[in-house]
Amino acid sequence: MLEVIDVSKSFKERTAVSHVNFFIEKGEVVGLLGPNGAGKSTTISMISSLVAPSAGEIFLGGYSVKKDRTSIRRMIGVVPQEIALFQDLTAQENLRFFGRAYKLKGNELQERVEHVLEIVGLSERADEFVKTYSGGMKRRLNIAVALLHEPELLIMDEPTVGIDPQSRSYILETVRELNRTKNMTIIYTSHYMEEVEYLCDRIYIMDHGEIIAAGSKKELKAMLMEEDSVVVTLSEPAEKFAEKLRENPAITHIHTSGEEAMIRAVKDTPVLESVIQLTRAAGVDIKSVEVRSPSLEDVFLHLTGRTLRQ
Amino acid sequence: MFKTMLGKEVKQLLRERSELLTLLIMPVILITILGSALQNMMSPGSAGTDKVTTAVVSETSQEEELNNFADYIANQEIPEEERETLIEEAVNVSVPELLTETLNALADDGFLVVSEYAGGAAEKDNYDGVWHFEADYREQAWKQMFLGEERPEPAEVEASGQTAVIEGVSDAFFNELNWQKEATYLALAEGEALPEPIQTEVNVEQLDNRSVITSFDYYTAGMAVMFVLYTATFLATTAHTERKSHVYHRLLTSNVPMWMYLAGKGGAGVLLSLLQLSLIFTFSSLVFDVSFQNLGLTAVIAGGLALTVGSLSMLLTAVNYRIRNEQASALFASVGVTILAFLGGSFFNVSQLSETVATIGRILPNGAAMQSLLAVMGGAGSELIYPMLLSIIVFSVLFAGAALLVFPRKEDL
Ligand SMILES: Nc1ncnc2c1ncn2[C@@H]1O[C@H](COP(=O)(O)OP(=O)(O)O)[C@@H](O)[C@H]1O
Ligand SMILES: [Mg+2]
Repeated sequence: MLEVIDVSKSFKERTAVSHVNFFIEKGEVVGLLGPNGAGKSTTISMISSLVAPSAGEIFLGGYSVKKDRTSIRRMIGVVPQEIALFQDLTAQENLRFFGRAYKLKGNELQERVEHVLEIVGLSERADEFVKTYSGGMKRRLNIAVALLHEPELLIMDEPTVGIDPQSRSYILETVRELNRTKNMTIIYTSHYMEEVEYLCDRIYIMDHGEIIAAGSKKELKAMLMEEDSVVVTLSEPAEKFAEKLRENPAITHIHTSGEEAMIRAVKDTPVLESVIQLTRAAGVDIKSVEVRSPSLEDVFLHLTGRTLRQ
Repeated sequence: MFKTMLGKEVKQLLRERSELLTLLIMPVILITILGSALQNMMSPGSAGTDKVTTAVVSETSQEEELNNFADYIANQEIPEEERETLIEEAVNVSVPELLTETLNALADDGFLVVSEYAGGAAEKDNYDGVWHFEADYREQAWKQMFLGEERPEPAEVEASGQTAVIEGVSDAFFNELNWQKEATYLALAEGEALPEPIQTEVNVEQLDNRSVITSFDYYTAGMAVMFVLYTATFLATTAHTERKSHVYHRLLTSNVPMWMYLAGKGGAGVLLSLLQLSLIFTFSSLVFDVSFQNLGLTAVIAGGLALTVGSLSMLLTAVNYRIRNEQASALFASVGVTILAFLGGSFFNVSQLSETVATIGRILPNGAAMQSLLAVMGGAGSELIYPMLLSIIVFSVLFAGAALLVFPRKEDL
């Protein structure tokens, strides 16, 4: 349904997106995972035909983004990263305004407005001003607007940043429902790996404008199957101790934060043993040890040496 | 979509209390304060920025009347050499000529424009004041002055625009004339009783559909043309918010074309400023008795001004989008409006400062609108108003054109 072919985008000297390739099939939920500044929003703007690629081609349902902008725009619903709403209008007024922008009118407009309000659970508060809404409610209305014209492809750019856990899980459930009941194709962008891991069939991981890994959850995690992952918590800051561990050739990666050290090592090497030895020698106590199965966070860490939120 | 955009702007404005305060309450307060404070200080002469135009019309030439007078005294029992003195004196105290001289002196100060007509009638409507002297006015005046005969019919003064100025000039002139006459008389016939003054009352006739501009009229026009400009900055500011919050992107992705967005801003500018002007004018007319004389022409001026505000809203929006912040509209709101209002004469009549500045002010759309409003309040007709509105049309087209040029086409916002 969507094909992004070798797309790059530079803003003056700065390269925001570089040689990106990906595709989405109808009915899929695909995640675009990456830290801030990775180039996710720029990629999405190019798919939405708001930003012209410096190089490469994008096709959606056979239409070219460069040539058939109008057709492309009719097919997509975009949930921008920003709260793209009129704060001093009510939810109902916002929806009616954007509905008219989509050339809806009369009964159909009113039905759609009521329907999307129901989807995002705001029917009760439809006549309140958006500026009085909580962050989570604004995010939900932000999604509702993009659903008004029943798009084939829903593009969501970080739809859950900065909101409370309840709203967040409400949104995640909504996305799931849309995919299941309406077979809506969805691109879900986030820097929260749990969300992407929960929602998406396939995942593209972006960093510094490039796609550094792609595949299903399983495939991505398989990248780490050759390794063991151990988290130790010490009685004092872990960094000094980590210095010594890095000398061990079996250890591929160490990441410390405070008293915690996340250690990855080649599978079936006695890592734990050398950790215990080293702590003894240094006179440091181990508070806890945890052997973990890899998460997407670990995949990212593995690929970039950084955590997603770094 | 156009209507939807207009509706949205109206709703947004109605909910912005601080904006309503700026757009409606402030001008009304200023009209009240400035209008009352300057009620007595303001001579209507300073209302219009134009010079006062005057004409002196005498139906007969001085020479002809002098001949008539010479014939007349030839038949009187007056000694020969005294007759000659009288004829010489008569030339010196010829009233229409003295008035013209006085007016010319004022014209040299840059206050008046003077035209003279002998033996014909001036086109009254073209002048603020016309002094009209009957066919035998000079002769009668001489007879009264030198021979103590009947006074002539008082000269008629027709004031159309600047009534108080015309009245003042007439008063001053005839007072002066009486003094001079007394002096002449004393010189001629020492010891005799002083004669009656030649003309005490000045008969100023106000042409029917013309009226005096009051300070409330002046500031209603001045504040209205100034505060409509803030409607444009309000719209450009909401436009900036719409760019920043990606509402504009959202409109683009719903296939609303860029020009439709700009047109929506322009249309809202026209609509909101028309509403604003109607409310301000209604207030002034109800509370301060400001009379617009010709409602049709007032509507034409308001419409023209609203068009300028609409296209200015588009231009400020476009510049805000181009430079990706709201400094353009913010700067215009803080500095631009003040400068335009000053030059246009919203605060006081700038022609008192400099004629060049006043001319520039009259070319600016707000100044042109203000001048035409004042002219309509003074009773002027369409032939005077339409040329004044030319600059408004030109500016509207220029602003709208510039907006289309400046607005970023590449959608890399
Ligand atoms: N309009 C722009 N002009 C210049 N640089 C930009 C622009 N938009 C994005 N960038 C830069 O491109 C990079 C990618 O940004 P973005 O796509 O917003 O990342 P993400 O959405 O993954 O956080 C960043 O370094 C950002 O500063
Ligand atoms: Mg982003």
